[in-house]
Amino acid sequence: MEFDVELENITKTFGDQVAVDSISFRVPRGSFFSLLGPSGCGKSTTLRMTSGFEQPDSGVLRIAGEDMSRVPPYRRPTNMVFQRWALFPHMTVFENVAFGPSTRRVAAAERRQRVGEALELVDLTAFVDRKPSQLSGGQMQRVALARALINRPKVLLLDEPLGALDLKLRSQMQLELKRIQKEVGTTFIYVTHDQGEAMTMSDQIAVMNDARIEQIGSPSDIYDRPASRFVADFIGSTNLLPVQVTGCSSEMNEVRLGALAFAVPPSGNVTEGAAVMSVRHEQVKIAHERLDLDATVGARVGEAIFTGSAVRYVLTPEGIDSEIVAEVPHSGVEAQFSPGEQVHIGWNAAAVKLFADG
Amino acid sequence: MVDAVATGSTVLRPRRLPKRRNFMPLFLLLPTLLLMGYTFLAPLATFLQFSFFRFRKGRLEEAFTFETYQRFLTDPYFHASIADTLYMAATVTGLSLLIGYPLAFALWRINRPGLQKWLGLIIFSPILVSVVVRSYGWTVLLAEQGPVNWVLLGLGIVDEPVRLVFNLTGVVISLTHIFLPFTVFPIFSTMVRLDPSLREAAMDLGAGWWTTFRRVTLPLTLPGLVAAAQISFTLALGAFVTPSILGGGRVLVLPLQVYRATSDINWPVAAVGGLVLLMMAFIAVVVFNRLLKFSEI
Repeated sequence: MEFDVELENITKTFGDQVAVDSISFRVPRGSFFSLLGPSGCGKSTTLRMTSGFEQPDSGVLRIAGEDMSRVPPYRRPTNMVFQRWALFPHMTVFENVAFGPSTRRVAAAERRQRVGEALELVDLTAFVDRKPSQLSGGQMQRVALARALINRPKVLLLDEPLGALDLKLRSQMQLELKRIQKEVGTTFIYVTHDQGEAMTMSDQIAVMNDARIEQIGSPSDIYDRPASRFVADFIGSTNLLPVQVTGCSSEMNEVRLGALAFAVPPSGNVTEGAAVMSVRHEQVKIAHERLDLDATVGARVGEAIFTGSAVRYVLTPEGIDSEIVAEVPHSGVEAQFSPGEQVHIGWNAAAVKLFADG
Repeated sequence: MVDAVATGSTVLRPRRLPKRRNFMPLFLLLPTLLLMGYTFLAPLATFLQFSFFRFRKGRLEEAFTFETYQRFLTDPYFHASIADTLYMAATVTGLSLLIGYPLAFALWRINRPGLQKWLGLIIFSPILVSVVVRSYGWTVLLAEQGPVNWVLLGLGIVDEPVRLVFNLTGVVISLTHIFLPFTVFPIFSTMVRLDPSLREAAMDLGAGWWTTFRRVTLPLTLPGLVAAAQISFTLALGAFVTPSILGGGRVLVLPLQVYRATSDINWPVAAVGGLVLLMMAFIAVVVFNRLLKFSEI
């Protein structure tokens, strides 16, 4: 497999602030790769080092196999779609898109043809003579995309380009971005703090937190098999409950959650003593009668929150200090459980992930 | 309850929203309007009246004549004066921009806050010293035995002292210095407002430093440049103290002509000179405003 972008032990500090702490990853050619994490985790800095706007303090960065340490931004085979698009306000759509080819001395006739193609790709051919101030957010976003893609970069870098759009347009643009990426076959590196966005579009996601990469994997990998407590918490919605691990073996971990004891498959670096277990909201089952699951406990319904596609129950289990949230798909009928009601809840051992405490 | 009463009363009268004029802005403008009326409009009217009087044999005659206007239009002496004034203002403006733009650029690109503050203060400092003091300072600096000539002679750039003072050169040098803060800060403020990601976008699209400057930074800071030109041009048109001190009586720009006429109680010449100056400033403002509109996006 060929890799378009390779980072090896890249570190970047601003003053005494470590922005990126010795991270390494490789992006396969033609794939959609996302850097996902909360604000300030170092994902944008990583992207800016790839584009050349920042220089790493140490480590090696290769694009298409070539070391980039002495290559300035304007000679890198990358192009960027900026957070607020950064369209040149004094130029028309045509001039904006033609900017890249004109700096690379592409002949006028070919330039015109390529601008036409690029605008066709983003479905904006009718707007060539408009100024950016006469465009909507979604249209500006498309111009920014065309302006970057027209240069046929090896790698397209996208810095939260959908952040300034409204929700409906955002989900529409997500599908569109994915379509364009497939059509042009360019490697995309996409920075976002929105897990839904990363999940929808990415082939691979690197989850970043606090200047480090917590996990790299496919969307289903990081959702179903989170490598750390942070990833479990950041992706999707989960119950994080403090537990005691009472027995560790290669086949099973014995877990005690308050009065409830059950066994779960072994995972990671958990040792006997205090630990944290994660069970996703939708993995917690809820019923009036006793459940046939690996761990069950009686509980009282505290709150029922209707979210449209699902109902979320906040439950107080018997003999356990923490509240547990269960999410049940909304079937169109009335909420099946009402606040104050006594119910049974439970989950399967396979749904439980254990993480070392802290 | 209150609503019910209110709707009840409107039933009786035709539906009309209560007319509420907001007098507050007008009230706040009052001091300015009074001051402008008394110190600008009233003297202007008086001047207009004086401009039609006749001045003959050292005496003022209250007549109605276009004689003085005719003199301004035909007399080469006044033509030279007007041309000198325009030439001086244009040179000062050109020089101010030539020095001010790079200076503003440097001030903008310095990313050490301490140094930036000090440089800003140095650029600003001419305003802190009186014009009279500064102009006298320049006469010393630019004198034939002054430090500037000393350096030029010492470096062998010139063989004999250059006349830098008591002519237009000295006036232009001094005015450029005085107007520097007024040119640097409008330019600087447009630079600061520039979205830094625009320059990054240009570089990302393959533009080196010069292309980025020529195609992105300069066009987007043009409004600041035009504003700076407007300020220094109009200020230079009306400059009086510096031309009178550094001109040494040889630089007869319009404001000095007006001053001279008033001391001769030649009110018609003073009035027409003043009005010509006002016209020139007005035309300059209109032209620069046009340019400004053109340079903005």
